[in-house]
Amino acid sequence: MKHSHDHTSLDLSTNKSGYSDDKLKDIHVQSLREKPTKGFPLLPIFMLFLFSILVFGCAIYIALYSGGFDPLIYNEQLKPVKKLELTNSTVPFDYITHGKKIYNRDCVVCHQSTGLGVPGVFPPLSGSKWVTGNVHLSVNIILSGLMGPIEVGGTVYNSVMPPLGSQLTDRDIAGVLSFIRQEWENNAVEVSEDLISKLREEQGLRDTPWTIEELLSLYPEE
Amino acid sequence: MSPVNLSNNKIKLSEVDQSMKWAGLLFIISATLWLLAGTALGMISSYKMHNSNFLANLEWLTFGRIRSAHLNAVIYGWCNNAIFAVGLWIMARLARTKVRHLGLLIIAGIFWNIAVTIGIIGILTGHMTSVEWLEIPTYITPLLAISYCLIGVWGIIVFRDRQSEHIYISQWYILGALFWFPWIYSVAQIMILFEPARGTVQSLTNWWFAHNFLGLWLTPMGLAAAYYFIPKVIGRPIHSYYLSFLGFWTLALFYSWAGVHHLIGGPVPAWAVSLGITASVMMVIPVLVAAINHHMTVLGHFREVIESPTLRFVVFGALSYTLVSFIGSTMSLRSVNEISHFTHLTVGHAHHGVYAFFTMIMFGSIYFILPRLIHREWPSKILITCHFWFAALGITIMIVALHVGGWLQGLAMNNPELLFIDVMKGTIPWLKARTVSGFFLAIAHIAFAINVFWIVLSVKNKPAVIGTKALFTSPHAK
Repeated sequence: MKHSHDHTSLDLSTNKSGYSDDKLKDIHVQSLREKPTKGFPLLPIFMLFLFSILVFGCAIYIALYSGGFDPLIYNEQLKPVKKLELTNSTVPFDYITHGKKIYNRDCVVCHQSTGLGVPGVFPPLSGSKWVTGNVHLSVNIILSGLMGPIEVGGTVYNSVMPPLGSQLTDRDIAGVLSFIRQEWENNAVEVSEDLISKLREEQGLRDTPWTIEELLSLYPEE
Repeated sequence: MSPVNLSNNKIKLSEVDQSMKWAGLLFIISATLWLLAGTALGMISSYKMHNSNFLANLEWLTFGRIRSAHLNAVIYGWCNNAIFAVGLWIMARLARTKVRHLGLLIIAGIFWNIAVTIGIIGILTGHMTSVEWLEIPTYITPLLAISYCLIGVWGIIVFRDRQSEHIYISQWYILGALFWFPWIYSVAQIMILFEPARGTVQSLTNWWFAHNFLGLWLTPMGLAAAYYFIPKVIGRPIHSYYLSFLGFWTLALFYSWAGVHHLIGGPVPAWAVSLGITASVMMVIPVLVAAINHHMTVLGHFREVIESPTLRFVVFGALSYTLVSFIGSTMSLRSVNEISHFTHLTVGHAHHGVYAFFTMIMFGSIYFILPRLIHREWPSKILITCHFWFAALGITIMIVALHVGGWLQGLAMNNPELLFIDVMKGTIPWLKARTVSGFFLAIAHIAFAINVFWIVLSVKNKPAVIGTKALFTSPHAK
C-alpha cells in the first residue's frame, strides 16, 4: 500500500512528508537568513583548510610545470628559454616566404603568378633550365638585368629584363631566387645570401644589362 | 515576503503542469525513443569490439560509423530531449509561471528531433565529420543550433516571468546551462568546422567542447534536478544551502578549463595542459559541496529513497556524481593519465558520468514529472523496479569492467616487452563483460519505454487505468 501510494501520489503538496515548490523555496530562504547571523563561518573549517591546500598545491603545480606560459614549450618539464636564443637557434629566417613576397611585388607583372610568363613576350620561369640550372647566371641576371635573344623551353624571346640589383637587398634576391627555384614545376636547392653578396662584389652593378652569351662565356656550362 | 503576498493571484501548480503538457510529452517520448535507438547502436558497437566480423559487410554499420552514431544519438537525442523536458519543467515550476507560446516550443522541438535524425543518418551514410562529439554533418548542424535557441529561450522567458524573489539553486544551474550550451556548441562548430582555426587550437576547442558538454550542460542540469527533487521528495532542507552557491560559481569557473587534460602528451603548449589539470583538481570544491548537500540531506532518510522511484534514481545519480568527479580529477593527473589515456577506462569514465550520474537523475525526474503532466499514474511498479535494478546493475558492471580492464590495458600498453596484439587480446574478456552490461541496460530501457508508452497511451478515463493496473501490477496497488 505504502509503496504504491508514494510513487503514484500526484500532488506532493498534500503529501505529509514532501515539500511543495513554495515550501521548498521558503525553507531555503530561511536557512540563508539564519546561518550568517548566528555567527556561523561561511565555510566549515575543514573545507576552508582543504580548499587552501588545493589552491596552494595547484599554484605550485602551475609555477613548476607551465613552461613559463611559453606557447612554444610543449614539454611541461622544460623551463622557458630566452626569446633571443630561441629565434637564433631554432627558427631560421624563412627565405621562401620572404621571397614569395618579393616575387609578388617585383616579378609577377611579367612572369605571372603561374610562373609561365606571357607567351612570346616574357619567358616562363616554371620548368626553365635557366632558373634551376647554374645559379650564378640567374643571380647576375637579377642584379644587372638581361637583354637580347634567349631560348626558353624551345621558344626564342627577345626583350629586356630591367636590372634589380639597386632596389633589392642580398636577402631579397636570395629569397626570391630560392622561391622561384622551388615553386611550380621547379625543384632546385635554395640560394644562400652569401653567394649574392659575393657575386655583387665580383661583378658590380653594370650599366648595361647582360646578354646570355656574355654570361655563358663567363660561366661555361659543365 | 513575496511568496505570501502573491499567494492570492498565484497560478495553480496544475496550470503550470498543464502548460508544459504537450511539449513535455514530446520531449519525454522523443528522449525515450532516442534512448532505445542509442542503446541498440551502443550494443552493436560494443559487440563489434570483441567480434569484428559481426555485421562487418554492411558499410553503414561499420564500427567507425556506428560508434559515432551511438554517441550522437545518446547525447543529442536522449540527453538533450530529457533536459528540455526536465529543465524546462523545473524552471516553470520554480518560477511558478506558465510556459507560453507552446506551439513555437513544440515546432522547435520537432525540428530538433528531425535534425538529430538527419544527423544520425548522415553519420551512418558516411557524411560524418572527423571531430569527436561533433560528428553530425555540417549541413544539418545550423538547424540544430537554431532549434536549440528556440527551445532554450523558453526557459529564459519563464525565468524572467518568475513569481518569487528568491532564485532557488536549481534555477541558477538551469539558467547557466541554458546559456552555456549554445555558447560551447556554436564556438566549437565555428572554430572547428565552419571557419577552422589552426590545428592546435582546433584540438583544444574540440576537448573544451566535449568536456563542457558534460560539465556545463549535462552536469548543471543533473545537479539542478538533484537539488530540486532530493529536498522536495524527502521534505527536508538542503544540508548547507548557502554552500550550494559556492558550488555553482566554482563549477562555472573551473569546469570550462578542465577539458584540456584530454590532450596530455599531445602537441599542445604545456601551460594549457597544466592549467587544465589544475582546473580538474580544483573541481574537488564544487563536487565536495554537492556531495555534502546531497548526501547529508539524504542521510537518515533511506526509507524514502527505497520507497520513491524518483529519489532512488536521483540519489543513485548523485552518488555517482561524487564518485565520477573524484575519479575524473584523479585521471587528469599526468602520472595517472599516462596509464589511463587511450584505454577503455576513458570510455568507462564517460559512461560513468553520462549514464550513472546524468541519465539516472533524468530517469528519476521523468518518473516524477510525467504523471503530473498528464494526470495519470505509472501503470506498473514492477517495471519501475525492474528498470532501476537492471540499470543500476548494468551500469555498475560496465563501469567496473571498463575501469579494471582499461587500467590493466594501460599498464600493459606501457610495457614495451608486450606485443600490442597481445594487449588487445587481453581486453576481450572485459569487453565481453561490457556487452553483457549492455543487455542489462537494454532490459532496463525496454521496461522504462513500456511504462512510458503505457502511461501515455492508456485510455483516458481513470477507471481503465486502475483496471490495467490491477491486472498487471501487484495486488496491493490501489
